[in-house]
Amino acid sequence: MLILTRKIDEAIRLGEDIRIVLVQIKGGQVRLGIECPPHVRVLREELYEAVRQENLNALSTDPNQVQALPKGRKKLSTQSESTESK
Amino acid sequence: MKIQTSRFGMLDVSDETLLIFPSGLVGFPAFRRFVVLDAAEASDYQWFQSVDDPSFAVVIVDVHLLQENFFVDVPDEGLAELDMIQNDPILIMAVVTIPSGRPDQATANLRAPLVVNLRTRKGKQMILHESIPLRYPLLQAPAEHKPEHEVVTEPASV
Repeated sequence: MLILTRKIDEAIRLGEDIRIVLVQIKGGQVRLGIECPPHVRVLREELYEAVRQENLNALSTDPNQVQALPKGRKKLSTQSESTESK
Repeated sequence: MKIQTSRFGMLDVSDETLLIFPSGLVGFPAFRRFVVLDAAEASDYQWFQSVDDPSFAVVIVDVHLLQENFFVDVPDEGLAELDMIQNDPILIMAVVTIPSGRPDQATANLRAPLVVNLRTRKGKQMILHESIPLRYPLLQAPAEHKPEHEVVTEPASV
């Protein structure tokens, strides 16, 4: 892992279009400012990790138990049924 | 094309039924091509099966079977990845987790739904706001007493 030392208001750049600024240091916390293009997803790692773990849990599903799941209200179609679009 | 699956054996699927997830699922970026298989006749649940890995499959359910008003405010990065234009038909599905031996305690991941653009057949697992349940119980209080609470979603960009 690359480790850099920065002072308040100093920044680092990742590539051409991502900039991370050290905004504040207080107690055991630092505040970071992130500038990046809209197509780049920025997430606190624990949010990403929670979803990754839940995906992992879902992968061990036993097919025999799917029949015992509670019923929904209507049938799903992947062919044409549209929901809401944006 | 013929695909090998660990749960359902060899399957023959037509290319136009494939769904492409350019980023894969969260934590699993390597698998990008999927097919949706009916779990059983007239079942509300389906399997989301990887074409690239025989053992990679999860159970999914249309989120609108769980919450009629569920909507996703697709973040910019998702719009681009799905080649989304105005009025494209989209499908929103939640991944189902069943605790071992306890299907009555199964939950759906509403926080990170699979959003598919049916026109381009491209999809993405979007991570929404942390106020949306990661484990939404499939068994709710009786539907007639349940208030249909609105789920407001927004991109989780901290």
